[in-house]
Amino acid sequence: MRDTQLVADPLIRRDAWSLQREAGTWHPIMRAYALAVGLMQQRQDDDVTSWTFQAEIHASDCQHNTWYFLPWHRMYLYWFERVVRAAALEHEDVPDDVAEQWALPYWNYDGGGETARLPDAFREPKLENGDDNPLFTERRSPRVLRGEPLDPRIISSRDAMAEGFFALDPDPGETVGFGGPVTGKNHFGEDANAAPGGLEMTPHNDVHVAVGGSRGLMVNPLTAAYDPIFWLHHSNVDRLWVEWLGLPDRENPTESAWSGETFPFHDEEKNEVSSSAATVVDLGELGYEYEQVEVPAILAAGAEEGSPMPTERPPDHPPELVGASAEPLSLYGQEERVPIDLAQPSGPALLTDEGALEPERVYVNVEGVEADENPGVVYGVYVNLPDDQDPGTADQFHVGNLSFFGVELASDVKRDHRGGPGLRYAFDISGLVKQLKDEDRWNPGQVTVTFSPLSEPEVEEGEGARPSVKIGRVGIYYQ
Amino acid sequence: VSSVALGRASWRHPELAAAAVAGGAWAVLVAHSLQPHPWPEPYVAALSGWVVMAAAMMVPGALADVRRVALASMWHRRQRTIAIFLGSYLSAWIAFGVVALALTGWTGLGAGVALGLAAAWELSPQKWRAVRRCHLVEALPPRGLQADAACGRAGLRYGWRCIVACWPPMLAMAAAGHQALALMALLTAIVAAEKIVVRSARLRGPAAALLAGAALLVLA
Repeated sequence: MRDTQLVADPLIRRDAWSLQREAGTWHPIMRAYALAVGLMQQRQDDDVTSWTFQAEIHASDCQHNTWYFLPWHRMYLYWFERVVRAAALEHEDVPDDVAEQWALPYWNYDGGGETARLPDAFREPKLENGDDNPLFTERRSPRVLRGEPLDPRIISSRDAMAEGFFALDPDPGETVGFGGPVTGKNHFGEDANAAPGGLEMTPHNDVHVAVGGSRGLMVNPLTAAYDPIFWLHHSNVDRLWVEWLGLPDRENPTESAWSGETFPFHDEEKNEVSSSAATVVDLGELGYEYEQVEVPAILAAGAEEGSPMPTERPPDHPPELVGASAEPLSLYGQEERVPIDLAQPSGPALLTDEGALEPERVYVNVEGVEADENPGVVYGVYVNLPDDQDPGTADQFHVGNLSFFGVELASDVKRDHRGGPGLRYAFDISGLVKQLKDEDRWNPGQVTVTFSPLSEPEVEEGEGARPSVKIGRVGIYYQ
Repeated sequence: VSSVALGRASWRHPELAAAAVAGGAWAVLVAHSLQPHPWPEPYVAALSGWVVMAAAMMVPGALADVRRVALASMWHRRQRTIAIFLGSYLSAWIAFGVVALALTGWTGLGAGVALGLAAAWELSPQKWRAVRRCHLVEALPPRGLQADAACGRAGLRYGWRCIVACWPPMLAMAAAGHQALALMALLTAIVAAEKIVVRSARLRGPAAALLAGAALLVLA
């Protein structure tokens, strides 16, 4: 795929914060990005190399809640990077040596210290010469624009990294793997299996929503790619895929349905091109690498021992519902505790002639999530959080996050749709349940699921009532 | 061994019983076409045939949704859920049949004209929004009468949305009668594909052409 831009050495996608530490806000690579983006923003919307056209590809074709999520976004970034590099070469204020070697930086928000803050090049309204900064937009969360760090629970990829399998073909109730469930092409809700994989949920979805806030570009898939930080966020998500593959026994799917499905794009010469997962799994072929790829130490040292989630395949029988909330609930930004009565399993897989078996897996499912717009709040999900415990200090009971990225599209009947109403999220809580049982703190008759906003909802000037999110049902499944 | 295998298959596919209902309905209709039994009154005959025909034509396209609803129910309630859901779903279609049979009887509306309507309906955005709405079956409460009632409502809603999506071809069947097996097979294939295939709106052109062709054949 590199034949039209052949270079001897791989291009290096640099860490945005290490660029800033190295040469300040306007490191030549970041400055080149800003100038190239500015040039692309001046192009006609129907020019395939324009900023609008590139952003609209995400609005119309992006793949989410599917095992194509990671490869599609890798393809998207690859062709975008080539368009930006060509724009940088065209721009007279970008030195040729910088433009020729330009590669998309990444924002490693989980790099410790200041890295959880939006890099300064995206917060400065003006360039060094006083011109408007194309990387700046006011359509972000005010907190992020003020330079406040993202919550550590939003940016951590630890749970995603612990997923042992790239993709699972789930029955209702099951989790879907690191990269997403086995589906056909799926923009948001076309496939009945649609649900976000571990990496897509956290940090991907959560960072989208935390950066976008209630009215920003990043919070909505239709506008997300208009924000220049979108591309650095996805560059980091792509880097995390590389890190995951460095862990023991992790591998990409081998099915041709995954590797052979093709998606259309345009190159920097405006030619129509198509890519598939098979053409992007090898970064060497694509001609770039990341400045830093670290295998998470706790997982590398002992994948099983340090892993908060099991790495074996789920049992070969479908999960069964053992309890659920009886009524839908609405989240307006408040904490909500949902007590759920649990029954004994009644299916033949877990209820045998010898009695009820201990389930190998226990899942929390949040089903039928619907909203007309995303309120821009990330919720932590907790299981059996003690009444007197502050969620902020309750990591032991934290099983994941809900940020509802794409919720406004998931029940839209103007788009193709085959799943249930709204989005589905599944959390594997087997590890926590085992721990609670060991500590004699697990009640087999009842569980409480708590949704707690990870930050106080920020009311912006002129904002009316905060939109709510409807949750159809919270269910507990055994397998 | 086969009963064990069938039992294991039913763990993951509780909708097999519903598929058997559809298969049984087809068997009844085929048998009846080979050896028709006289009915005391034509409308009763037509309505009885309609009930079997609705099961034969409308259950296959619903199987994926039935499976999802059943798997998201408590295990011991799976078949009960399927029975209530399908029962209320087919009740909606039977109510439609009562009206459609009366309408075609009184007005003399023929199957050819109704198939022409069906071809035109394929090309309307309202048709495809209704097809997509069919799949929006909400999660049900877990247990008790509350679960039964919600399941019944979900089945009726599902039926109503399917009627909005598929009323013209079924109007054609009301006119043609349950002995028109070839037409029934064609319409079942179209209706089921539109509900099962991902991004099924791609089928609108071929489906409209098939229905228009069938209309011309019937009118000729």
